[in-house]
Amino acid sequence: MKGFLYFFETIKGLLVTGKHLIVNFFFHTINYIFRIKTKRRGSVTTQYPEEKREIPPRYRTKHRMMFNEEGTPRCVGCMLCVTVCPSDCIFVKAEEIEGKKIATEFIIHVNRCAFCGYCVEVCPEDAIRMDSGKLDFVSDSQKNLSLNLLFKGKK
Amino acid sequence: MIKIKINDKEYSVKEGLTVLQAAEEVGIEIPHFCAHEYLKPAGLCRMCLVEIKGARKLQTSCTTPVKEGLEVWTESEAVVKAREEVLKLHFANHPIDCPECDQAGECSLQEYYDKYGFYDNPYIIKKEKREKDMELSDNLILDRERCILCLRCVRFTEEILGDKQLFVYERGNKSYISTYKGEKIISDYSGNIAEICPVGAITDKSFRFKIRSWFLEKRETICPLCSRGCNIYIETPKDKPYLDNYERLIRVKSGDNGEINKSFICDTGRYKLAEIEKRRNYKAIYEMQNVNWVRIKKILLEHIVTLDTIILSSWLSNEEIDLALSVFRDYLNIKNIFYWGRKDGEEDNILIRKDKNPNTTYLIEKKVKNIDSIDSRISNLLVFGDFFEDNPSVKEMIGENSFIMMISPYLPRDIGKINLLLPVTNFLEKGGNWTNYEGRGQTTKPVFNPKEEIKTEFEILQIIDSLLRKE
Repeated sequence: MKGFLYFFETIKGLLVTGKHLIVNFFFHTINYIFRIKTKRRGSVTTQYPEEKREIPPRYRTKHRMMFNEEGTPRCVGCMLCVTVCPSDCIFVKAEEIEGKKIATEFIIHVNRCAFCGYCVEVCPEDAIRMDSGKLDFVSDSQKNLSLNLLFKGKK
Repeated sequence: MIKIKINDKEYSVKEGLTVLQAAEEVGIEIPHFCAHEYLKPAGLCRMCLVEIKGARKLQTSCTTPVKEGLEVWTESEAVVKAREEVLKLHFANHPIDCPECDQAGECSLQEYYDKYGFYDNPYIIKKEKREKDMELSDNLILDRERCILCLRCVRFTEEILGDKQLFVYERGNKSYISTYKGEKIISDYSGNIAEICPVGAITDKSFRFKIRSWFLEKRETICPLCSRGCNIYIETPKDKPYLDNYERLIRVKSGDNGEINKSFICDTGRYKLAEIEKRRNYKAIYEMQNVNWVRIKKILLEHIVTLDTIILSSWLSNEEIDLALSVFRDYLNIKNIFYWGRKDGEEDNILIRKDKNPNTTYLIEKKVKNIDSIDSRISNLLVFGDFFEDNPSVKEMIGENSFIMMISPYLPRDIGKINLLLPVTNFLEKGGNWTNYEGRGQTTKPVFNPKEEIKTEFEILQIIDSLLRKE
């Protein structure tokens, strides 16, 4: 008797799935083949390398260092980011340059980083930010995944 | 003992204390900048204001002596309000550059703002600009913007050193601290000025921008560089992956011992202690070749019996001296037992002693002769420590074809003459009891673990002892 109930529910589920398939497929075709913009997006898949997802403004992405007008980094090496970092992935070294304390080394080991954003929040000089919008950084070795933020050239 | 009431609770305290000291003794904290345990009360910073029954206004607790039946409130509404107002005035010209200040983490201003402050800046006028990094002496840097004029440094040179090298110039808002005509401070105790500064106004050049203070861990020991035995703290980085490239001895701070060194130490102990970490040796060397302990035991067995002279070091602890004497004097009946150490240096009547070794007193107590009384030629000898340069007369007494065994943590200057060299732990890597110049015993624990597996002098003496008894 119970198997009989299951049979009806299975048919019901198939109908729901089929409805989704047909509706999504319909909107997807008019969006992507006939290029007609509709309110409904249809299929949720994004065609990744050609088409990129829109990143919200407060989304935490790859770190970047802010520089002063003279070209020196804003970081003064107060080590608050090093202290607050839960995954111990930041390494900072500061030296005295013309009477001021300026960071001479700022390395983030990205494969340890948890992207929690504490370092950005704690920074008193607004030196480090995570708004570069870059999410796709890959490498075949661990070595290349330690970012030197004071390096200004192409990388 | 007299009875006073603090925050409606009754306590009995010693006579002659101030309210601040009495409160500290019973475990009640009153914030203060200018009051210091070993300096006379001045009542300058107004941070330690408390409410006292019968007084019309709030009183500074650092200058008010306790008397029978005194009633004090340290956390009442008026006191907390006054503290905030005092802090506002202290911060009026303070630049708040904690990110690049070396005092951050151990700064009284930071601590009290956290506890009693948290207000917005009430002043519209811009903060005054002053000198940021002025050399006060060869190892001190003065930042006049950060100074809160507690005058601890001025009072230190006046009361402890007695030479009045620092003064306050000008009056009111313009007042600043300086030496006469801006000359540099010349003193053997200048490092203390940076340490007693409650804010980051006077900082240490050797510590400047090196590491943040909250990454450091304090370890207690005594200073071995003279026979006074000042209590000190050795600060070393906590175990964290990003602190790997630092040396293990970052800085030396003075410990607090009212009977020996109050809370001050000399500059030699503060800046030169790191030298005992250099020139270390971790390998046993026999006739210029590395040897292992199986071979060493054979060599020791062969030569210990033929020894005629032992030179003990005054850097050995009480236990090591006792064991050495029981092995060599009582068991082997060697009569030529001497002691040696670093040569005598300057002396003053504040802290620095003439004798530059930690444990000479105990050796004299045990009737060990000084190396200067050596008169006959030596053939086979065992020495502790390498002090040939400090005692040049010893080299002339050593005969040809003699066998020299040395037990030293350091690499000797002329290693060619030493037949067997055994590595041991240095002062900071071993514990023990030490007797200072007035006969006061002090106990230390090991501050660091040795970098490689090496034995202490005590363990080596135990091995010699067991070898002899097996025979």
